[in-house]
Amino acid sequence: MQALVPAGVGLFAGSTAAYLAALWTSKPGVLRAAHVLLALTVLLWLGILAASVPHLAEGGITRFYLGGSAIGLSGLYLVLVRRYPIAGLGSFVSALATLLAVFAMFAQRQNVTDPTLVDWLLRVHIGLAFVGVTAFAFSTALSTVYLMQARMLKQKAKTELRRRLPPLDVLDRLALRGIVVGFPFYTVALLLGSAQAIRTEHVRSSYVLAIISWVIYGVVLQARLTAGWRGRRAAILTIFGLVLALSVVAQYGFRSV
Amino acid sequence: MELLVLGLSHKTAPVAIREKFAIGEEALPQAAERARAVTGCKETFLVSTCNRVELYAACDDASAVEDALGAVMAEVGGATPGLVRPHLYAHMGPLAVRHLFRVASSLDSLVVGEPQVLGQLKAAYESCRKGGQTGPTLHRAMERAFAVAKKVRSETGIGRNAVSVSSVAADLARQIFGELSACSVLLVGAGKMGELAARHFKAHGTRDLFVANRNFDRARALAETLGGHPRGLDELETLLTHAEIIVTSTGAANHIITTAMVKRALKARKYRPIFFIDIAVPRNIEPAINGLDNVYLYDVDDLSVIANENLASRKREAEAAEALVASEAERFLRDLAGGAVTPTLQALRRKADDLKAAELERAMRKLGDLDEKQRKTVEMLADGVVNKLLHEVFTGLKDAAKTDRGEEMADTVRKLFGLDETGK
Repeated sequence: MQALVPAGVGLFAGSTAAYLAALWTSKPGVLRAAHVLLALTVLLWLGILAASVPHLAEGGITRFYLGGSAIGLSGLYLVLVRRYPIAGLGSFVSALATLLAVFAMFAQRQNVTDPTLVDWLLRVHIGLAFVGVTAFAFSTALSTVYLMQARMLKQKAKTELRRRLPPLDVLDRLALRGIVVGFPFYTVALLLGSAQAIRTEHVRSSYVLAIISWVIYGVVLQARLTAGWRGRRAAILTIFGLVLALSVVAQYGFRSV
Repeated sequence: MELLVLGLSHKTAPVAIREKFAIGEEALPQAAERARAVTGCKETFLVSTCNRVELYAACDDASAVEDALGAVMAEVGGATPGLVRPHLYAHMGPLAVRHLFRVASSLDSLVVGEPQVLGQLKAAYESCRKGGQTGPTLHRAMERAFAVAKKVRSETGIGRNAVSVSSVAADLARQIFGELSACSVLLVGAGKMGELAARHFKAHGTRDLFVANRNFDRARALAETLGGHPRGLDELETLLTHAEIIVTSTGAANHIITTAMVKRALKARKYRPIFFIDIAVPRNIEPAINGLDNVYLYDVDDLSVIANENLASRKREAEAAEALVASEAERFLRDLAGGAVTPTLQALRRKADDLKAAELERAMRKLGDLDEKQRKTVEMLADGVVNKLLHEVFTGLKDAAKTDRGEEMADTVRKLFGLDETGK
């Protein structure tokens, strides 16, 4: 089943291409085909991850959670697209899922040399962090599209793309919800990570990055909920927060941990 | 049966003529009935919109009834045939089918791609169908016309983009706010364009409408007409903190909404987005506000550019729609021709089966006691003879139905096999 990981990455990339084609042509049939392809990709990854569960003790936990994030992100989109007018978001979501899947593919090749990886505390820490990252990744996809849409509206762009992307208000509200959902998971994950660092008396640079990204999301959340902060600045910070969170993930994935 | 359409539209008649034909939906069956009374005219239906009035008829020979139906049309409009005749157009057979499909698909409309004509056509047809003026031929043509219109709408972008300044503004508002039901509209000034835009937003289900004007009495009068709330211009800054969509159309020579005002309003409304539509000339809103976060400003030129772009896009899409309509019309005519031979085919099969049953019964009586195997063999023999004989006739008729010789061939078969006029 693990041999299918590159095929899974290819399918995510294929879904991205299908969503781009749907955005370009605006044909309902192409969009439906893209949804089906993404759903099949999610199913394949579920199979890959289910097959890897018995071997988690031997390593590959980062790959497992990265794959889980890609599934979560895509699944969330496939569910929400039935309720909200966010069909135009598909290519951005699947592109992010492709990125996570590529991380998963390379993380798979790492040898786990740190025995603490099998520690339950660390497993819960990484699991919660990935739930948070998945939610933040969804908010980031929404925020990216928000910035594009806002720019096109400001510049009075005569492009067809403006009409095919979701409305600003929907993008802004859903991006906030993503942060609201992801933040508690990320907070608990960070607390568990700190406990682990104290226990092992080893503070990694990735913890510093993780704390900075947590502060960013905290600021965005606080400013949005109390001061009504919204729009472009909130979108930029949401994207920046994910870049930091993913750099933490990359440090886990690309280093022998 | 041949289709005929006789009518006048915005392309052939000025409004002074068209207005004579403004017929209410309830009066359509009566007018269609007058046309159906013309000898040779089997089925009719009439449609009347502000841009067209058309009489559709299914008749034995379209060119034979054209003049008589033209006189009926003039009568319906209460005008002399001489006055109406120069503005009338007539299409027969394949051209009538194509015209019907073009009208239903909004390719013949004043604003190509507008969706109202299909609804008007459906309502008019339904009215005449209930009145008993329509029949199977028109029914098949109309059902297909509705299906073609739906296909054109879904497979081409003919109705996708707004083409008036007001509808472009509503489209942009939807791209900012999504649903407009939670949005309040503020109309500043009592200009005609502003009023039109406000009406458009109201029709899209916006929540509250405020009308602010220097002259409070005018604000009140307009608010009453539009179902909104009148306000004085001195309340403008407060109103900016409430409304999501602001339409300005005053005759003021200077900017009445400045960057400083909008900055204050934004802070008070916790940076909820505002969409400004400045349709006044000279402009009422300082252009620099478009640089503020969560503020979107469009003036009349911006809206017109988008409307023109959309119109051009519709025209490009119309070319694809025309091709689709042409191929659908051709397919329908082939199906219609096939339908002309169907009653003859059915009658011939019935007659052959009846003859076979009678002859078999007679033969069985003469042959006396036969066992099951012998009985089956005799029945198979009769079936084989009948089917082989009919096969050539059926194939010939079906092939002829694909050409314009379908009815002629069906007529010959009816005569040869002694079937009655209707193929029974």
